[in-house]
Amino acid sequence: MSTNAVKPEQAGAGSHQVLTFVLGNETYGVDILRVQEIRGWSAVTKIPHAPSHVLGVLNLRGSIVPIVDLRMRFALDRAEYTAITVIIVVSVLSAAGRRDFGVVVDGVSDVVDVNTAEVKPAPELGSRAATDYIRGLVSVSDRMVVLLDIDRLIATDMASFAGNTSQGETSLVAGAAA
Amino acid sequence: MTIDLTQFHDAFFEESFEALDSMEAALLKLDIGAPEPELINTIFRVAHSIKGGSATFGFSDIASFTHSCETLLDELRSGGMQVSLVISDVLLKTVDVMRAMLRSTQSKQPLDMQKVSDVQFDVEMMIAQKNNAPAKPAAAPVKAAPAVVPAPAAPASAAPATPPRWEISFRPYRELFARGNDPLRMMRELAELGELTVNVDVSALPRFEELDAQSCYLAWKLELAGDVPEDAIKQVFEWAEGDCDLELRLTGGATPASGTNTNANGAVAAPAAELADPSSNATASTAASASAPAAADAAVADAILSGAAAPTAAPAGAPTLTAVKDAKPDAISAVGDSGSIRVSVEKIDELMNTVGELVITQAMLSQLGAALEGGNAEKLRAGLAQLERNTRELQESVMRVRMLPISFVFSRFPRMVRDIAQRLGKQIDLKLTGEQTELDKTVLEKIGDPLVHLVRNSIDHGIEMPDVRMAAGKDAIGTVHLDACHRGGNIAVEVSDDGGGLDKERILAKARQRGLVGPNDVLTDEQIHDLIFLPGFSTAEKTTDLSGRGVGMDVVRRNVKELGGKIELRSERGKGSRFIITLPLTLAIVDGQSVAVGSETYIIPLISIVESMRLKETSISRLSGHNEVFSFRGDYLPIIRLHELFGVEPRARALHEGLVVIAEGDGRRVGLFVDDLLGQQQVVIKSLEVNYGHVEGVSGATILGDGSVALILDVTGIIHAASMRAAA
Amino acid sequence: MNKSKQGTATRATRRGRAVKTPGTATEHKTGSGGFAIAAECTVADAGSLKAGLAKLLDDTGMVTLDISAVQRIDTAGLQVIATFVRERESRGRQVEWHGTAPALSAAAKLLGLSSLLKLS
Repeated sequence: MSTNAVKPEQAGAGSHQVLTFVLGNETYGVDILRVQEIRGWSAVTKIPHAPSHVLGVLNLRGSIVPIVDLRMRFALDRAEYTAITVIIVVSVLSAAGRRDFGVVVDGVSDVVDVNTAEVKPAPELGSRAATDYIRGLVSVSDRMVVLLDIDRLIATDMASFAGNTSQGETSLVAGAAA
Repeated sequence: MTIDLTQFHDAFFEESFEALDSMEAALLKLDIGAPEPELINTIFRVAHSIKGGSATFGFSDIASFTHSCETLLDELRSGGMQVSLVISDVLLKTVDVMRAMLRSTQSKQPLDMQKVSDVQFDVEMMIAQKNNAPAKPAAAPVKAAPAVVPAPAAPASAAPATPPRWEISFRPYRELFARGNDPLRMMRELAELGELTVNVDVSALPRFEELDAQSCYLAWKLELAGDVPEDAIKQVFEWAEGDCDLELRLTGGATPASGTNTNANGAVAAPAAELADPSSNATASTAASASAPAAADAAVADAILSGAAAPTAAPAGAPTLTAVKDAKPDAISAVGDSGSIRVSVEKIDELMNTVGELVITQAMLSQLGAALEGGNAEKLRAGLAQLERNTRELQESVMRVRMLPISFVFSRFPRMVRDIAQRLGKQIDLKLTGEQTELDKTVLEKIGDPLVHLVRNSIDHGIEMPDVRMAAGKDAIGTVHLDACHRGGNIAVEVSDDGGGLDKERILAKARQRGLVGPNDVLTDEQIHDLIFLPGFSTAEKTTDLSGRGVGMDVVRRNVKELGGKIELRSERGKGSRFIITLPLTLAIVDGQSVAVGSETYIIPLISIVESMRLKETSISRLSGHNEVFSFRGDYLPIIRLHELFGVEPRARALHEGLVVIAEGDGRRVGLFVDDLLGQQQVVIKSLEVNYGHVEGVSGATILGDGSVALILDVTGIIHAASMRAAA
Repeated sequence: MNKSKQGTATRATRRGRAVKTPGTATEHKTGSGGFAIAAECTVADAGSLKAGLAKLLDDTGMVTLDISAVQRIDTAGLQVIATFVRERESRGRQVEWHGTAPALSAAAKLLGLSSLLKLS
């Protein structure tokens, strides 16, 4: 895991730092301030009737944290969990307060400095991506990084968590139908 | 330079609420025919202190109201007026008003001043009428001084040569004034107890320019001559507890035989030096307890303890926890407990959490240690075993810190029962037993509402009107009994009455009428009784008098269930009813049975388990279609396949190849089919809902010794989920 | 509704801060070297009482404290007055009393401050 952080002093006004990670062929980014920790893959405990992209829960420093497979969430092809599969633990703000989640990604890349002015809005991508959880697109070193609104991404799932188990999968995939 | 006094408001409110509770308890305890002077003094002091404090903080409405109360109480304690039922009722109303006024000031919510002025008017009328009221003959002039000591002289000698004298060192802290205390008040009260000599110490007074007008720089050395009980002196200073250093020393006159108040250690507030008086028989007992129950002191001891004011009980549900509070029901006040401190709930919760983590870590280490080989493995395992013992002890100690006697909840019932009984025209005797039974604070806070509902139920529907009772050959006065005790690792709280009991026919008819029971269904007595817990069954209970949070037995059962407990009902027509609530001692941990279903491990709370067994093929039957049942103690119980419910691949599908755990939820019993029983252990409950959400059939999660997560099952939820599936 | 049996002055209903802002205090000068202490002399008034007395601290002549209006006083109020008297004395200056106030004398006696204040 490389985390070559850009020094904060170099970050100018109107910018924020983003942790980038890879999923399939795409690079995504989340606000670094939301990232609690990064850890390797370990076996989870399954939750009955959870949506399929919620793999289960893990013990993270004494808290019970749900683990979400982003590939499945984005309806990408499933991948094998290997030695370099990584879980990013993020903090999400919701109406109920702060909740912690772990997202499974293929690998973590750099922490980059993003200038807010350079973020372009996400175009309508058809049925693949529900654009409400995409904050925008930005170009970093000639790569396109999809900036995720992690609150929205998880919040749309949360309704499906609370007991509406059978409906979970449908509401989940809505917008991500292939 | 002025300081902002608002930072001290919280403490003032808290102390005032507590004081009002003790005032209420004292009023209820007061024997109208022969009122104990001590109780009246306690009540007076409450009004006096609240008045003083509210004046300091500028709460002039409260100060004015309590001033009227104080005036009335002053008349009562000086003998100018006699206590009567009417006066006692009005005083109880003033408690309500003062509570309401304090609450409204604290929360900055408006208050209905009409009620305040109505009650104040009543009080003033009583004071004005005192000259018209028939005064009882002077046989019972209640002497103002609480230290009524017509004690016979010490048996060994006649009146002691020198009268006893107390030397009091009173050194306030700077913020004494800001906390609503005024030494002048205390001096006045002391002067009433005996002959007071005052020496002031001005050595800490700064230059005038540097004086902070609202800080106290003065200290005093006082001498109080007279046969004054130590507790009386301590009561004078009780509102300043924590804001001063107080030392009491008894000199002269106390011969060993009389032993009056020979505990010379009077340190009240933290940090206090202890002085031993060499001349007296210093038994170094703690302040609150009367030291020498010797015969000679009987009179004195009685004057202190008998009819003494209320338990040190804080209001039920009080947010602040007072650790190690001496809950002796007859101890006078909180001041005497030289060994207690107030601790915030957050600190205790944090402590509990940290200890919980420690338990998990220790379990992990033990597991790792068990698998080790090699020379030092034995030593390590021995060390880990010791660690486990230490950890367990620590956990139990911390749990005890959070435990409070159930008297905190029981204490609100005498008033409530009295009020409701009066309103309904019934005569009810409330018996409270087992008040010292301790339970976890969070459980305590949540058990109040269900108990209130059950007691109301007993009074409303259980106990009959006096004439009906007498016609049935019963005593006109009905009994409602609240009892609490520890029973096998749990706490059992019972609400029982000797009323009319449940009417099975009426219940069955009503259930049939509401479609809850089929017209031809045959139910056992127990099942009929259970019907009252169904939602939609409740009779039209009034919501107005309760906290408005929902009524009905179904809510009671739900609340009890949320606490991890269960409720049972026994009733006999004509004789009465018994509700038995069983609760775990704490919400933070649970005793559980680990079971394996396929590759998953689940924990079933032991409180829900009846028995576990392996079924023989022959004892299993199949009802219409899918439903499997088996015979257990004369009943047929349904089998719930956990692997199906949870979507897990099991090791065995044939019922006789696995095990069945017979479990209970909401009065129903089922058999849970699992692969294996793994062992019993106490687990720390972790929330699944904080980060994930609620899953039916799961009440929480825990972390096992290997660091993995195991789900804790909720039997009632499982039963419900299974029946939903079956219906689908 | 505020009348009490002991006949203390009716206090105007007042919500809010316990501390009076200086300026609303009712002390008033009786001429140079003099100060009339207000009827209310408790912890809530102590701040403004001190402010009022401070102006007289350096008076070279005799300072007369008129206590005839004093009705309610507590330890905090007496403490301010006592500190003032003490300070004056330490500078070799003087304080004399004008009028009588039973509440003040009784309080001073109970607090052991009578001799310091030299109340006659």
